[in-house]
Amino acid sequence: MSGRQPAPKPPEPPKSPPIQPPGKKKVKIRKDKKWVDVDVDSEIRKGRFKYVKFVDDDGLDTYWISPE
Amino acid sequence: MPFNIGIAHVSHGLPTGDTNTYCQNSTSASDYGKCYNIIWGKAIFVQTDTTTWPIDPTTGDSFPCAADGTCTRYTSTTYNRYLTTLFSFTGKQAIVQYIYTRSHSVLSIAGRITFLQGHPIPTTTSDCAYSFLFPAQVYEQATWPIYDPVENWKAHLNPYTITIGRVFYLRWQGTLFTPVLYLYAYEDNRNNIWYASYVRVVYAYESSPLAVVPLDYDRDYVPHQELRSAFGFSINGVDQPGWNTDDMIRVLRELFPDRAWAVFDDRQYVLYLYNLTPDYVPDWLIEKLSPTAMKVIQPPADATVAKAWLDLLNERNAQIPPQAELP
Repeated sequence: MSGRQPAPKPPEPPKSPPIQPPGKKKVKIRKDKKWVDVDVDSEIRKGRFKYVKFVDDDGLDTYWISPE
Repeated sequence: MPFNIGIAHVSHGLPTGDTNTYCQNSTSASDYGKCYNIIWGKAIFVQTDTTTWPIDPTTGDSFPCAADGTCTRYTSTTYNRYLTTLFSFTGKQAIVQYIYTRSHSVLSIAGRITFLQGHPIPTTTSDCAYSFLFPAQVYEQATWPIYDPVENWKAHLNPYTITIGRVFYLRWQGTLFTPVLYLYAYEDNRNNIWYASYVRVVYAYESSPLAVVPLDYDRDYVPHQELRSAFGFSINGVDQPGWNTDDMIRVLRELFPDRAWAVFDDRQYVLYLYNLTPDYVPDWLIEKLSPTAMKVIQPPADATVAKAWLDLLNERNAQIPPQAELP
């Protein structure tokens, strides 16, 4: 057994808080088989489903189904 | 899903339940030409005499039930009356699975059950005589209800009584592959006749991108070959399968820039909205399509356009169609 001590880990840089536009809530949605964080403008309920509103990559106002 | 289900309702004056709906066609009666207990839509009255009951371009039709909005008056007789197109899928097929029709009519049954006068029936041709619903040329008329186990249809005559005329029910269940289904009524060139009816058809079709836009078949759909190349027509305005979402959006944007419409991409489960926002999308449509996302191609410039789309869609897909009024 070696007597060498493992080098101490450098302290982790402090995590910056996520940049969140004021008034917007961050929600995880399932998109293209991945979890994606989106800043949502609002939430609506249609039938049994909940949708969150955001501007998608195509520039369109988009309402995406969201887990409860 | 490999298949979608479409349901079409068409009503000419009758609700889904039993009611004493009739019109007066006795020319000696003081209430001649009036229709009673019209619950949903309008009854049909054929009266060719435009001298006694003229149609004025400004004041409208002077025939009593046409004037008070309870009937659609026709001023020419015909052998088979075309009423509407239930669906027409260019290059695609639907599988008709169930038909229910009920009519009140002053007309009688002719040729045993082969010809039901004044009874609107779904048919793939313009001649009711060749309808798949009536295969039997001669059938016992004496015992009602009639059940034909081979063709799997059942018919009732007068299960309840109305003041004038007779009541007829027909129910059929089976499998019929067809790209088109019309609604015709056999009138046999009669004048001074009336009938009222309720028709329901259930059909299946392969899962496809859908154009969600209630159109008038004869005025909006048929004149545009591009629409027919892009998607099929359905009277309910929802079950209108096409091939390619982008093509459907492009042609709708080109032809109906000032209307509200939606296109459903059945691969991505995205409902594209034009002149609409999700506020106008009814819950029953969300339940039917279960879109993962709704994308607003263009928000409504005028709320009345979006509201008109919603109202017409609700009317053609009545989740709870009018019931008969209790006495």
